[in-house]
Parts: sequence; structure tokens; C-alpha cells
Amino acid sequence: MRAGDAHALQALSLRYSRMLTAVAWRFLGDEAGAEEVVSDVFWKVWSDAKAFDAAQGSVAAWLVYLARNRAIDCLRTRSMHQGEIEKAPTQASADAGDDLDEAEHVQSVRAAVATLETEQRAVLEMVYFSDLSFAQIAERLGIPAETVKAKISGAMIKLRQALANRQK
Amino acid sequence: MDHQEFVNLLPLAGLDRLGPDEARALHEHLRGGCAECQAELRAYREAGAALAVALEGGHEAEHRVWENLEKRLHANAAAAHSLAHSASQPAHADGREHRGGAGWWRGVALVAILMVLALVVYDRSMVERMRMEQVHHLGQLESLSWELNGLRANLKAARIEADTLHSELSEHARLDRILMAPDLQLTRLSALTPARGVGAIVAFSHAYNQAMIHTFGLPEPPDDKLYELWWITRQSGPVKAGTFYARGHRTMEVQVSPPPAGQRVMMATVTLEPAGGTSKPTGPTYLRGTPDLE
Repeated sequence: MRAGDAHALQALSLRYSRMLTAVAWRFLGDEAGAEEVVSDVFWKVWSDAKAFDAAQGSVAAWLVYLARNRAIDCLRTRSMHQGEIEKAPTQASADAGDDLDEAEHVQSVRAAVATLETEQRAVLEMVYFSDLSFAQIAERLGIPAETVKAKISGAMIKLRQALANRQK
Repeated sequence: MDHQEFVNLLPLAGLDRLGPDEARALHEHLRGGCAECQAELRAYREAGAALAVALEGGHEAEHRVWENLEKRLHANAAAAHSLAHSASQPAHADGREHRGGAGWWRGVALVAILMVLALVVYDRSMVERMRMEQVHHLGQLESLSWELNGLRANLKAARIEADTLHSELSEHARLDRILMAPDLQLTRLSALTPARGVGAIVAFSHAYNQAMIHTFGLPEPPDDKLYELWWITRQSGPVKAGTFYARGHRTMEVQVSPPPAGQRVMMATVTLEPAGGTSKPTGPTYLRGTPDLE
């Protein structure tokens, strides 16, 4: 990509578009808007591939970070209130993809996420896929803001450990 | 913050959910070279991204997204080609049109440069003008501030004077009342050594149980002294009536204690005593007088 190879951009977008679209959809709630956000993300990556720092995280993590930020910007521009966690419409088939390794990786990650308690996962998704502040999340859940932070930290520690165990 | 506190921030940092101060502090900590926290943060970011990976949805999006990107790539390429084409115009046979074209660009560039220079000069002159105006305004502000301070001081002095006048009026009203008393007793005091315009009148009324001294011409006492009025009675000798200051030979009216009931007043004196007064006269006598005949 840094060399300006458009095939690299194609490969990257084909691999991660679904995931990033699902992320953006969580924020914006509409497919066209989500795809536009994802296109913006890949165009930014194409324009500034040097910005990626492998020491800070994987390509997937970087793309998700960019997609979240872009989606939040769009959300604020639209002045939409995104509060409810709306699950993306589930499809009839599982999200297997063409690449078997990729499918296995997705299944592994899903299994790790599934180790979280329902409440933990709900709080994490509320934090990660919305622009709500801790205070707003606390109000929705009916718990103090500091408790929200503690729950999130606890859930992240657990998820991290689950992912690490899966990788062994 | 200690290292453990930074470690505690990492789960939220992985979700990009730190407050600005915490994020700044963590950034500085990582810049300081903490490899452990760097690795942990990376792991937490992956954990956050795992939430995205675990999402379902976005099907068929990859083709539409790529189509969108392809359009942008083509548009970008077309724009770049157009720019390159306009920058490299082929020369005509006689070269005249080419030179004219280049000359036109030079003219435009020259005009642009002149405009920029004019703007810079104008901007600088505006900045200088604003600076001078600011200096002028600051000077005015300072002047007004001085004036305001002066007015405040005047107001304070006026308030003090008003309080003094009010007090004097009150004393004067009290004296008037005593003078109207049916059992008014007056005692005129004069200076021991003849002194023009120095003296006092003491008025008291047993019926109203009030007494006032009206002084005039008394010099201001030293800082550690004051004047004290005494009733010299047949039965008790000197009886303390009250203390007062004198301000620069001005007339003054001060409330004092009437003589004890049932005691005959032989004389009234004013002596100079230490600040706070004394129980018996110790200082020099300034004024002395005997009561007027009843």
C-alpha cells in the first residue's frame, strides 16, 4: 500500500470491509452510511499508509479504531442520538468468508467474546459502539459511573485473557 | 502516577476511552519507553477489535466498498493526469503561442506575488495600528483606574466625614435636650492661664440623668494622652465624669456622666491624663470652673 499498489488496497478492503461495515452500522444504523464510512477509512489508509504502526496493534485493530472515529464523526455531524445497541441484521449463514483461516480466526474470536457474561458484553459493546459518555451509560444501566468503568475494565481483562488462551 | 496506576488505565485505553488528562499521562509514560505497558496496550486494543470481529453483518459490503474505492482511484488518477497534461503543453511550430502562454502564466504569477506583498504590507500596517490603539487604550485604562482610585478615596473620606457629622449632630441634639431640662445645671470652665477662646461648658440634668461637655479651643492632646473631666464633690472629692479627645482647637460636644446623685459639686476640672483615663486626677489641669448658682 505504501508503494501505491492498488491491488493491496483491494485485498485489504475485501478482507476487512464486512467487519468495518458492521462496526460502522452499529453507530449509524444505515447501510449506505456505514459503507461510506468504510470507504472513507480505506481511502485514508490508502492516502496515509505510513501512519500504521505495528507496535501499537494489528492492522485489524487499527482499521477498527479508524472506523470508530469516522463513524463517531459522522454521527456527530448528523446529530443522531445513538444509544440503543441495535444488533446488525443477522444473516442466514454464518460469517464464514472465503478464507478458511480467516473463518477460523473469526470463530476463535467469537468464542473468546462468548466467555464474557451477558452484562459484561453489553457494557463493552455499549462503550465501544456508541458515543455515549460513562455518565450516560451509567444512567442507562442505573449504576454509578465509577462502577461502569470498573465493569468495563474487568470485562476487558477477561476478554484479553480469553483471547490469549485461544492463541496458545 | 505510579506504574500500577498506568497499568490500570490500559483496559480503557484499549477501547480508546480515557479522559484527556489520563490519555496524556499514559502517552508520556509510553513515550518514556515502558515496553510492558506498550505490549499490554497492544493486547487490549486487539481485545477491543475482537468485539468488532465478533460482530455479524456487513455482508456483501466488500464489493460495494471496493466499487466506491475504485471510483475514487479513477477520479484521482484522472485529476492527476489532467494536472500533468496542463503542466506539459507541447510547443507549437513557430513557438509564438507557447511563449505567449508562458508569458501569460508569468503575468498571473507576478500579479499574484504583488497582491500577496500588498496584503502583507497592509496586514503589518493594520497590526501596527492595532498595537498603537491597544497601547492608547491601556493608557486610558490606567488613567481611569487612577481616577477611580482617587474617587474611591474621596468617597471613603466623605463617608468618614458624614459619620463624624452625624455623630456630632447626635451629640448636639443630646445637649439641646439637656439644655431644655427643668433642672438644668451649668458649669463654665476656663483655662487656668488666661487663654483667649479656650474653655468649656458642662451641662447636666439629674432628671434626665445626662450630662454633656461642650469644649472650645482645646489643643489636640499628644497621641498617648486624652482629656478627662472630673466632678469635685464635697463628699467624695474628684469623681470621674468622662474622657474625650480634642481635635485641633475645634468645638466639641461629648456626653459625660452626671455627678453622683445627692452629692454637692464644688467644682469641675479638666485634666490631661494617660490614654485610657485614670481613677483619680494625675495630670496637669487645663480647665476649671464652679457650677453656676442654681
